[in-house]
Order: sequence, then structure tokens, then C-alpha cells
Amino acid sequence: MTELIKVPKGEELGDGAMLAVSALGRHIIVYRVGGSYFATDRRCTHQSADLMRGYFDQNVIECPVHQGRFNVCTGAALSAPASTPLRTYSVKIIDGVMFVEV
Amino acid sequence: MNAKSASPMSSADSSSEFLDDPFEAWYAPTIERDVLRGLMRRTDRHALVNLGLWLVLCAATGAGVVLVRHTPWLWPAMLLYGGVLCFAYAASHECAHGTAFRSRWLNEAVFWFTSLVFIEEPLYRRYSHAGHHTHTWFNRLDPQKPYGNPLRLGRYLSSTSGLVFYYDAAAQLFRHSLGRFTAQEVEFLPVGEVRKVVFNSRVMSACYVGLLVGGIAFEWPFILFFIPRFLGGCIVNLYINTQHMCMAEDLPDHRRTTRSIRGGRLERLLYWNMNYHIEHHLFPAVPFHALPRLNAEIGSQLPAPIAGVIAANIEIVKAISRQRADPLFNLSRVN
Repeated sequence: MTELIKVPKGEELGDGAMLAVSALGRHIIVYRVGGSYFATDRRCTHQSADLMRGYFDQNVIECPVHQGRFNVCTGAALSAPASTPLRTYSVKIIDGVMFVEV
Repeated sequence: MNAKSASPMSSADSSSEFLDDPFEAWYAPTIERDVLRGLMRRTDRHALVNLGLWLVLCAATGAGVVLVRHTPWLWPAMLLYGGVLCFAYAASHECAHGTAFRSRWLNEAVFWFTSLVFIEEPLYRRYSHAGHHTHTWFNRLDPQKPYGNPLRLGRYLSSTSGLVFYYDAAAQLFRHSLGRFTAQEVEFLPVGEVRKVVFNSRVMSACYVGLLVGGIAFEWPFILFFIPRFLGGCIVNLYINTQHMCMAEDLPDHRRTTRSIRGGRLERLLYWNMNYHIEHHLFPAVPFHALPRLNAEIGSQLPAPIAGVIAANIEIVKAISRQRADPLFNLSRVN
């Protein structure tokens, strides 16, 4: 069963910005790339570092500790030492309010 | 579907809510999140300038080798050229982090070229160096910790001279070309990457064999690569010594396990600002060109840098002498 996590003020996220949300025991980051929103797990798949402290440029989030890189749109691991993809979530805007589907 | 309200976090306080970050245990200085984000910004320009100047210096000192090759000045010229050439280490290191260039293809192309010059397979280096940042200067965990306390003078001299470097580098490339990895290596190298490391090691081995064979027919590979790489290794090794040698071990605190030194303009250019080594370990996502600005932000929270590469090596030799009587002595300046 899927559930929707409401992201207050998520729709105000500026282009190239990211926002962390925690609910249902999950830690998630919502990103805005161009006019679209994407969401991934917040924990790096390499050694669990906090990606919220990482470097976000265009559609790539980079781990702050080892510089493993992920495509936030697909979750794909782009460069070593990251080799396992990030889990992604779909982001929905319903009546002007942002939700992450988990 | 159910809708539940999330707890929103601004980027300023988000890390405090992420309770199980395994790297939270490490010492971290205070710095504004937005300032740090600005320092992490990538460019191509800075690395292109650094790389270009290094290549010009390589070409100039290499031309010196060619010009004096039939005179007694050949060996000093090869030492000078090799000293410059071996700073490929620093460019390779920055590219291993992926922070040198904003353009990924540039980063990877320069990473390959400088790794070939420095004789270290790039993908393996990227993983082993990630292990070094995870377990900085922890015995048995840090894959790039070749020595520890108490340090012996013989180990210092062999590390500085690079006497064992060619043997170790050749042996490792040969092993990896055959698909053989040590127990420690397979701990940090994912199974899926092993084939790539094996392939890269074979490509690199073929390059060096080609150069060696070429060197038998023509002298150039020896006087422009192998001998200068060996001679110049001593110079860059003096800088590598300053990073962690005789510092405290097994502590999650880069101020105690790592050493920053002062450096002149030319040194910082060749060494890609790695003299700011504590700063680099604290925030490895900050590219080399922003390390002086990072130092301006957090330097007051860190031990003062040692006066320079010579001063740091003198300090190390003195510590080696002291460690004969007190094996636990180290050069940490933070209690």
C-alpha cells in the first residue's frame, strides 16, 4: 500500500534547491530540477552519509564524505565509490500541495 | 492512499534531525551551511589554470632535460623535472574526489592521464582513497596508511626516497591485472567494480611495458619518465609525509590525525592546495581552489599550520627520535 507524505511548503522550493523531510520512519530529500520535483532517500548507499550535507548541482547529488554521485531523477549511481542506486520516490502536487508517495 | 504530514526541515538544521549519520561522531568545526555550500561550488576554470601551469612547468623543465642530456647537468635537470612531474599526484588526487572540474569528462580525462603519470590505477585509487577518508589514520582500517607510530628512521627514509615505490606499484598492478586482490582490498572494492580495476590495470601495465620496450630502443622513456619519476618522487613524498606522519592515530578527529602546513604560491599551485590538509579532510567536497577560503572561515578552530614542508619534516624526524623512548608520542597539538 502506498502512502502520501505531505511536504509543507514543498511547492515553494526554488530551482536547484533541496529540502529534507522525515516521516513514517523514512528520511527523504526532495529536489527541484528545472520545473520538476524529484525525491530520493537521504542516506548515501555507499556508507550512509547524510546527502543533505552534500553538493547538489543540476540533477546530481554528491555525497559530502566520499563524493559518490547520484542522478536525483533516476537514483542511478553515477560514479565511484557509489555503485548502488538511490531509492527514488514520486512527487505529486495535489491542489497546490506537495506530497511524496512512499 | 493515506496522507501524512511530514516534519519539514530547512537545510540549516536538517543534519541534527538525521540521528544515525555514521560520520556524526567525527569532530566538525562550526560553519554556516550556506557558506559551506558556496565553498563547494565547482568550476572548470580554476583546475584548467592549475593544470595548464603545471603542464607548462613540466614542458619547460622537460626541455631542460633534453637540452643538457649529454652533459653532467642531466641528473640535476631530471631531478627538477621529475619533482614537477610527480605533482601529477596532486592533480590525480583532486580528480579522484571528482572535485577538480565541474565537467565530469574533463575530471575523468585528467584523472586517467595524471594517474598514468603517477603510476596508480585510478578506479582502485578512488575506492582506496574513499576508505582513507572513512577511516582516516585508523590502524588496520585505513587502506592508505602505510606506516604508524612508533615510526622508525628507516621507514621514514624509504617512504621519502620512494625506494620501494616502483616495486610496490608494479607488484600491485601485476596482481590486479591477474585479478588478485588482498583481503583488505576486497573490503572496500565492490564486487561489481573488480572487473573494471582488472581491465584498467592491464591497460596501464601495457602502457608501461610499451614505454620500457621503447626505452630499450630509444632513451627518451627513461630520461623523460622512469628516472625523473623515481628521482622526483622524493620531492612530492616530502609533502605527502606532512599529511599524517607521526600524528595521533585511531581518533575520529582530523585536527589530531592530520597536519596542515603553510606553502608558497608555487607549492600551492603544484600541490593543488593540499597543504590545507586538515581542512580537506574535514570537508572533502570543497574543491582545492576554495580551501584557502575554507581556511579563512574555520582556521581559528584548528591548530595553526606548521611553517612549511621542511619544518614539518624536521618535526617528524625529531618525533621519530623521541618515539624511540616513548612509542606513544605523537605530534597532535590538540588535547
